[in-house]
Amino acid sequence: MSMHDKVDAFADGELPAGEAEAFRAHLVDCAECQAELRDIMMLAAVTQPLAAAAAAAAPAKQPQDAALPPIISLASRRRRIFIAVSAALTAAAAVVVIWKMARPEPIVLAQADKRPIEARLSYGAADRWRPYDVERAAGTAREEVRVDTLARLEAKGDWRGLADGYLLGGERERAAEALAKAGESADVESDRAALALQQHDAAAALVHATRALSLAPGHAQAAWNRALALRELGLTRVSANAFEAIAHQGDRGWSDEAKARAASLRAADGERERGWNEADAAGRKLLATGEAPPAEIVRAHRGLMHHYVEATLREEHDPRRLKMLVPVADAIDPELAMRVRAAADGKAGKLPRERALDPWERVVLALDRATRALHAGNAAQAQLLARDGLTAAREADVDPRDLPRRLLVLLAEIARAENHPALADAYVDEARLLMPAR
Amino acid sequence: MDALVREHQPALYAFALKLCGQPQDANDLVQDTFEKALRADAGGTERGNDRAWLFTVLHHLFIDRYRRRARGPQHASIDDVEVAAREPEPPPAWTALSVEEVRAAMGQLEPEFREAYRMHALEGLGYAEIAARLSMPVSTVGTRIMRARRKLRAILQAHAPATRESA
Repeated sequence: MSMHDKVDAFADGELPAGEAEAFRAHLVDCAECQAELRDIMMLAAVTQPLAAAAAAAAPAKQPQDAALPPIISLASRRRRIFIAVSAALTAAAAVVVIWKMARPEPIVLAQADKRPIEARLSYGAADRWRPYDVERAAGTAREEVRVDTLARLEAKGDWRGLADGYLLGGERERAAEALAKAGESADVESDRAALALQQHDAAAALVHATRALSLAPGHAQAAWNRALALRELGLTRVSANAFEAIAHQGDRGWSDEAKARAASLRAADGERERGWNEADAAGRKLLATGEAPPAEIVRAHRGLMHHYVEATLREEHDPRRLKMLVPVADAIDPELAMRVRAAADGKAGKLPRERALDPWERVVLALDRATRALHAGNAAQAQLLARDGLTAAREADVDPRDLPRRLLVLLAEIARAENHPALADAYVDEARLLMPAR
Repeated sequence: MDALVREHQPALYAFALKLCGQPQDANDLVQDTFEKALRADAGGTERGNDRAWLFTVLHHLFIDRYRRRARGPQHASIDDVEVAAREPEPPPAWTALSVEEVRAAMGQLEPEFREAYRMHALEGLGYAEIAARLSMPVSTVGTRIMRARRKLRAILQAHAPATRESA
């Protein structure tokens, strides 16, 4: 893009600071761009009454705040004005001008009535509780933050405020740059956790939030971000506990939301366990009596049903009962269905020796590989394999308490080997919370 | 004068901020603009469209300021600044436009350009916000706004002199 093509973006304040500076340098010598800019400004001037009408039709966004101190020296201004005008009356009017000009608007970051990100930000002006805009966050989560607000934060060297503005605006790279300059504090660590959550790096978010809490125990925003990170890591029970603790802090708005989140995490957890137990009972019945489980259970618990069909296939030799398995296997996996048909037709011996791993076997294999990688000193690879295992475990529908627990212990070992005690503790806690359910 | 400031200061400041990229300079620029307006008022200068005129002054001062910044000494004070021999005037094609003419011109834009431009110019939304609302890339929003402006300028500058008598 040549400089001449940037005049619109420049006039709209949409160029990054460096490019804008380069454009200003170009502009002073380019008559063409000057004329272009002037026309853009003329268009803005003639369109202004329409904008004013549109604004008048919409409800007012923010109140004017008259109580803030002026940022410009009035004395030098007054001197300047006196050079220009002689009439005392006009000079008085000029002072009014100055007074108006010198009054900065308050910094307001959280302007929309819903918040675009789930995390909490440490900057006071950004941390007002507003309901989380789930619908919007499903797309690109962002809130329009005024350019002048960001410019003022930058001018003040307020990097944390600037980062939070960018986070609300959905500009993660810029937020990361600003946070890199913000120094080290509990607030900054908490905001780094918020950024990591936006970047879908839950493990990093947990590490940052925990560090913030060790710097400032009880840090409200860090506690919130930690609870979110735990949830994102799939550590439902630890996360629910964390939200419950926040709910008891009586932080208006946030407490209620924390309570609702804890309740919904627990409800989802309970629901999952109930559903699994029901499916498990249906699977046992299949194995014992050959009675096909209801279709909706097969659909919802494909992994678990796969496991039971395999088990039935190994133990059942009655062709009549094997035939009843066919529709169940059809709903699960074509390869499984093929083997069930072959067995029902008495052709099991002709099946290829190698078959695909069933989901449960995949989980066991991942676990096994991850353990070996860890013992071989390759923690990073172990972590990848263990994560695969955890994902596979969810798909495979293994007992929501049993295999995940073994995986969690393994993940904790890995985290410890990688020097992330916060992460290790979280895994161990979750494993411990799963235990009494047995 | 007070009324002039009250009416135009927010729009001028918003634009100055985009030009300068930081509040201090923007504030100074708008201040200088009104100062110039004050002098012109004292001189009894006849003006048509105040807003277009103020924007012209702002444009002029902005370029002047950055030219000096690029070349001149860093310590230049207001006392060193020569009073411009000639006040900048907005091109007549812009000053004679009525709100209805502008509205009608916007009506002539293709819908997709009009929508992006409307959100930008009337609702004051940034490119990113418009992109999110219209589910399109930010670069597309930029292009649409640029093209909407070019078209509007073509329409307004072609029709303004002809429609002036009827206004």
